[in-house]
Amino acid sequence: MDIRRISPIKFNINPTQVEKRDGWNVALSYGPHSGPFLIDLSHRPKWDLQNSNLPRFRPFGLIIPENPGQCTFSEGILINRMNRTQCQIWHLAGKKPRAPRSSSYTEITDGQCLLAVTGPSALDVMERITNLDLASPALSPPCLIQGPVLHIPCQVVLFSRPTAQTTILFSFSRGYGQTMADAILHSGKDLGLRPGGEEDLDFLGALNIDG
Amino acid sequence: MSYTITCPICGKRDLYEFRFGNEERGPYPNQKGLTPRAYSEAVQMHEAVGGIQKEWWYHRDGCGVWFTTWRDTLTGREVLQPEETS
Repeated sequence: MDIRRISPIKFNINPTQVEKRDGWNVALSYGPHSGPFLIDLSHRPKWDLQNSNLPRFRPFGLIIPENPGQCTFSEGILINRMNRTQCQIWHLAGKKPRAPRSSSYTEITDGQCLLAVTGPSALDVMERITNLDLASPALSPPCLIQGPVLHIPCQVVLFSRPTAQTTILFSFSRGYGQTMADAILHSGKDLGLRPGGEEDLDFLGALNIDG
Repeated sequence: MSYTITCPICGKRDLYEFRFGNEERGPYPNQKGLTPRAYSEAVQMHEAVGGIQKEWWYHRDGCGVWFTTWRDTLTGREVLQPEETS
């Protein structure tokens, strides 16, 4: 039996390219436009890892960052260190890996939304919806900032910050998904923010790995 | 303008991101032979200091960590540990 999985976010325009993947309808593109884009990545596999001895874990063979706020991105997998005992693992590119078997891992793909804001004005868009200082020169991407976006507790990852193509990823509880997406699109309307697909994420292309 | 609290992980943030966890009062008394009155006093009778006190805070909208900090209850502002100010 096929499992049908539905993102909590539905944009008011239809994608031009869609791919069926692991039960999700994944929007690859919404047409040839320049950014900035709001991209729904809720279908991307995510895990929460909690243990009092995190350094002994090697999720997918990767090393967990030592300090809270640090991230590592390797082989399409982003690991965010949240606090002394907890980190999250987001699979952003490449083939879906086999789920870890340890009881310290919790699969949270269906429980959490993951959005990306990417493009030249991404930081301007974020400045309108959060008081977190993502433009701080003290931040060294990729890094994790935990705090409210539109008053919703989020994990915000400043993924890259070149002047032309800034990418910010943030995750939060699934129930807020549609409201958040609508509010963010509304906030960035005059900056040209529009829905985007996976292909609009530049770093996937740079990695040369498919969804 | 609201006050700020300094989270040990996330740094200085708006007070509204936090939940107040009351004053730091040390461990609960030993349960053995504890009378109802002594237990009630341990739970209910806070010092309610007018001045600088050590408090528990929870970073509800951020990293989800409980931590202690020092705050002047007369001004509402966070302050350095008394040892550091003297």
